[in-house]
Amino acid sequence: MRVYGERILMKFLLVMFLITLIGPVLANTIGTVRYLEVIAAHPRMLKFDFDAHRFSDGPSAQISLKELQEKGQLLAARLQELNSSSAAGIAGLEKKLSVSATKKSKAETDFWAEKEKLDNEIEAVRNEIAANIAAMEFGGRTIETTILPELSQIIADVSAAVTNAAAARNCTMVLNETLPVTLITETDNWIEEGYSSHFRSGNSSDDSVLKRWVSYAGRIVPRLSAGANLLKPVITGSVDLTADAIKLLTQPARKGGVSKK
Amino acid sequence: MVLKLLLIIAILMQPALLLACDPNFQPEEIFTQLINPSLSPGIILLAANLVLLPDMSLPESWESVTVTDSGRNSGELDTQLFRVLLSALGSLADKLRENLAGRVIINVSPVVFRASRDGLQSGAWQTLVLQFSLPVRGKIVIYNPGGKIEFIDEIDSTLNFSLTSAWPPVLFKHFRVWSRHGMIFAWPEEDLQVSEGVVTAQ
Repeated sequence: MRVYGERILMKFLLVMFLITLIGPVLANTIGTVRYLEVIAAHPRMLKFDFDAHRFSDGPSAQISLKELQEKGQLLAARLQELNSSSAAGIAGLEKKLSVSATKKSKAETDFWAEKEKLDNEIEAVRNEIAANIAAMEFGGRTIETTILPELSQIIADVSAAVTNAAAARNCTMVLNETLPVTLITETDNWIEEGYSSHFRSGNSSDDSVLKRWVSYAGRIVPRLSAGANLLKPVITGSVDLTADAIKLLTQPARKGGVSKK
Repeated sequence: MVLKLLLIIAILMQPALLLACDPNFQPEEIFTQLINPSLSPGIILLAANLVLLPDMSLPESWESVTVTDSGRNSGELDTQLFRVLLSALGSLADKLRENLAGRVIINVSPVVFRASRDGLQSGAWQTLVLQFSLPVRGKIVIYNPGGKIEFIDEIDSTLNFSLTSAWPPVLFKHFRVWSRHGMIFAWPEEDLQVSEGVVTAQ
């Protein structure tokens, strides 16, 4: 009787163990999203200049050389002014060091507080000068770092929209449905054309294009970068969240979407 | 019986095992301890840094030593320690001068002891990282009796240590010591070479 009880207990424990392992997997609802389409739907992307690789307004916008030169002169003058203030601060402290101990103490504290403020200002002006010089070297195109805050905001907005769309559809996992070719401009035109006109439209009646695609694919793969993904993942029973995420992203701010700038 | 025990152990340890094998594991802080010792070890670092500065003369006695500390009320012990150390080390290095006066404002922050778990970049296995920081900064003014400043600067002598081991900690992987100016010591040695390469490239 005791042996029988132990066997029942063992089977029970084994079943429980398997349930805890498999349970989370079975409970997952998988969502898919085409991130590039969601990013393209962001209101700020309407202001993105694909030739200059910068936004047409805001801190990353292209600046004319004349404006850059004028700004450079102003910044140089400002830096000289700050450096003079810094030197004057040291000279001022030197004078006060010969006075009484209590005044020395106050002069010392004031000097370091002022120096900290000046040092921060000098560093900010130097950074601006470096950015200005870089922009002049590239014919008025601003340095890459000026675009990063806006890119971070776009990605944050997109992530929030996808997360909210996934939560609304009870998805515990979201997969990125990648494009079949890498996004580089040097790609042979016919690859994109073939993909767009044939595969994307779902037209499989023209066998010649399909055969051509397959025969060339083996040769093309090694030439593509590591980011290329010719094999689109096959996901069955998943929920496409792209439209939901775009809707959330483009709706007015009062409804939880991003504001248009 | 053994199988039964193994099964029970597996069930009990399952959350920890799944976590340890999770390739998408995010860095997790185990604890962060801020320690306020009555005598700050950072003072020793600052004194040593001052004495080791090349072509630097030091006053025989300091006119004013102010210790500002975010964690404690009194910095009297630190003040005394700084005066004694500068006098002793300066004398050993033959850098003390009679005709100089000095003022210093020392900022001592609490000692940080932090432990965190992280995934390796290769995603192969998790690691335990122990970090220890001794933050200390000194605003130094050294001048002659006429008021002419001989040296004025803010010196950051903060020293950081980190020990990286496998998780669970059965194998040590890296030990590093670095200051604001870069890596001072690294084990294994290739870490130091990589760090120097990065500094050169910058």
